[in-house]
Amino acid sequence: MTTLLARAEGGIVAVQKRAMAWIPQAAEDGTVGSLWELSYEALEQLASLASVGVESVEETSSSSLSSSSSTAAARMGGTRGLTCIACGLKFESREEQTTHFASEEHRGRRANKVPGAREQDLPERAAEAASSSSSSENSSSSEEEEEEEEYRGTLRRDQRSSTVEVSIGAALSMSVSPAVLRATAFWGGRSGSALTQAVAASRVRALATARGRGPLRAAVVALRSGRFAAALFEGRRMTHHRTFSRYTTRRGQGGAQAVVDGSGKAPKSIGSQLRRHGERALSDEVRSLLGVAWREALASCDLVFVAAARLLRPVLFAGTDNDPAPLDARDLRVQRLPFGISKPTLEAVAAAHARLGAVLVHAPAPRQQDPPASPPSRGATTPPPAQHQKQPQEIAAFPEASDASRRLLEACERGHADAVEAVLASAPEDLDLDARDLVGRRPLHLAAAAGAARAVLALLVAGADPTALDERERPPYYVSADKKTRDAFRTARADLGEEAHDWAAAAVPEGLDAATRAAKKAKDQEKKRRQRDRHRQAKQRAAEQATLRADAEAARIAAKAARDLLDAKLNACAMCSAPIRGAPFTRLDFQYCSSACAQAHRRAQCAAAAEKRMRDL
Amino acid sequence: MIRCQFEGSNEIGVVSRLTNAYALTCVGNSESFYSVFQSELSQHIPVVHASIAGCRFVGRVTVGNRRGLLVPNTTGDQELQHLRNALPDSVVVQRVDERLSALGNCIACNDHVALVHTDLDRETEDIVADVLGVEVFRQTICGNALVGSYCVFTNQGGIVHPRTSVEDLEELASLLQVPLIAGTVNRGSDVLGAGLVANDWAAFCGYDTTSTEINVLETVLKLDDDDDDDDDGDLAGTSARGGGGGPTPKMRDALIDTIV
Repeated sequence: MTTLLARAEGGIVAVQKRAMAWIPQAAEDGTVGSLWELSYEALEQLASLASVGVESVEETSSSSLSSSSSTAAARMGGTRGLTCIACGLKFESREEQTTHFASEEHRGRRANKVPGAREQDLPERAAEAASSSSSSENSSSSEEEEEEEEYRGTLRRDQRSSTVEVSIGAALSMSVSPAVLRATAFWGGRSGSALTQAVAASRVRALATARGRGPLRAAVVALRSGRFAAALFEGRRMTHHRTFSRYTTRRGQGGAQAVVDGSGKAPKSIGSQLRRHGERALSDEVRSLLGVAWREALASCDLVFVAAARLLRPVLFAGTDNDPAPLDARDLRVQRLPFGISKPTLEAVAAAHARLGAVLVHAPAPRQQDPPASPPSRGATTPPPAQHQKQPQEIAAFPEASDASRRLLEACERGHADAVEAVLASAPEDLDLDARDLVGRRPLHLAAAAGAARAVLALLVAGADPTALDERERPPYYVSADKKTRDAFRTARADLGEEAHDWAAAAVPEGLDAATRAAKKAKDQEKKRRQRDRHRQAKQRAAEQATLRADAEAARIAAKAARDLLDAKLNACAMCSAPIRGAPFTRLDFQYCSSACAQAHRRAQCAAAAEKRMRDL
Repeated sequence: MIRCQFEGSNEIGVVSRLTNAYALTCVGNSESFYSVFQSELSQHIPVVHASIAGCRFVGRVTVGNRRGLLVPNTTGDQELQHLRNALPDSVVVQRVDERLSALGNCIACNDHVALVHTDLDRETEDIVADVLGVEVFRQTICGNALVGSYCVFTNQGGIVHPRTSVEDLEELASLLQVPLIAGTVNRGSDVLGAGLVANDWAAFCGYDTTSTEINVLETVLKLDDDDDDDDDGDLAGTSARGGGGGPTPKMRDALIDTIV
């Protein structure tokens, strides 16, 4: 029986050829299909197939949990470290790891990692990688692979090409874009964390549910450097599209005007005024388009992908009562586009949509490595429908399957204090404050790591256990992102009292009660005030000194002028009073500028003396 | 683990290269540095005076293991000939045409695996694999491409840059197949390659290295002193010994030595 692996840039699947009839033109190896075209049945089937491996995931995850409590030395020998952090991959054996390290794909990445090397155009690279990997796999594997299933709940994650590939056994491996999955199930997969197939299965199921209501509707919105492009899709068909372009960034230098304005100096040049106007106009256009014209259409989308520069996110996500935001960042349908796109244009947006849904079919690489410890026996054929029916319960039985708990974990991971408080306020019965996600992290850990101080406090007040450990046996306090978060723990310690928990075990230092907080605040204010005073005094001193310097300078200039005047007088010609240049001509005590002056002066003096004598006579 | 200095400098890894089959030291003004190596190693492996391109930084520009020695293309013909004469016949000495000529900084290896700088030529990588007989991985040590400077490992174990994350450490340990630890030498220096040279049964570090650091190093490099015959030239002041299996029994031995 031929086993094919369907792998997608965005979404995917590998199943036996027979089970792949639902992928259009899936017969040929290397065919590209589209996630957006899959039927409800196909997705449903996919979800069923995906969830088959859940039991084994439970096994492996529980075994990994038990191993986490063993010694570091044992860990070294275990599966830990079988990773390529640069490429974001996990491996099952060292052979796989070394093969990866020798591969062109890894070498290319490594070169990019080196400071100074530029990140290449992602879509092209991903396509290259996909084609090269599929071709190499073709050559290395005989396509005939009749095989007993290996139940391995493993996961490969390729962050650069944003693909998650879950191999569920020889019979099925699948990979799905994390963004698609995240949006379709209320479950977080933090960028660096593992996504297990159970999660993937539940996400595909949610996607199928959405598909059950009609064609999958998706929106892609891109906003950057004064360009806006957005399109709405129904299946693969584009239903709405619009682009705007305004002059907002300096040509040549680049950089948004808002950045320049935000840096303290606000230039008043004509250009900057044009750019400011461009920014305002673009914001207005985008908001009126998304918030008014497309409002209904956007609301009906199952997925909304946003690629917006950080600075421009407020255009899409910030709103007031009068002027509501077109998109809500807390809405789980709204996702960041998991890969970079070039200039926001209609083509780029359409290409991004196609890439999100691309399904590439190719034969899987042969797996010659260690068989799992206890493979449950199962035929190589597709599981019978009866088994499918069973799966949902199994997923529900999975510890973190409680919907409320999932929402809580999701909100914590994203660091949304409001969402956390909302979940806590609604307080459904099945809410487990210390639920674990599949890697063993709990809400408190996620919130602390996300730096959501308010969420941490809310969780602690609601009764979450600060002594619960994560998969690395760290208490939540330990993973706190910043001082504010740590202070939230200390505040909780003071507020809840010493008896509420074993705070020493939770590693939370001495409580921070209201008085201490107030004292600290007062101290900070005092410090700030003193600093301001110092600053002001320094400024004053500087001003005084400047005045003194200016006075001294004026005095110096006046003195110089007087001296010059005196010099000029002393140096003047006794006859014509012009200043003397060079060595003076001297006669008696007089100085002259020229010999002519000397003669003239002598004659004048003689004449004056003669006149005087005549008068005396 | 022997502490020593080269002309007042603690960066002894710059001027020496130690493998399981030979040791290189530079030509110094005084022989004291050479004699430390000589006294500790000469019973087992040749200790060779060498220079590369007329310079003394032999440790930073060469890389090798028991199978071979790679030298940069700046090495003179005479120097190369001298090395070939002085080293055992089983050691292949090879000159490498590589833009990144500080091979010691760009490559770290033991007898089985090597980490290399991410920008190293493909040809050089092949030479490393062939001449040294190792598996080659392009890798960085906590984001730093100079793997030779920021890690030191032998067939027994290794030490890497102190800021290496746990995940990186695990990945490296998996690649190298030896236990690794993040640590420092020379009283907190993170440039391990410069402060420490080691093979499977001997190691030298800079004089500033603290006893805590030495303890860590001896533990991870498994430098148990079961055989006492190479202790002869070891003066009390230049040696600091700590536990291999555990510090306590070692310490007791040392005390008894002192009393007797």
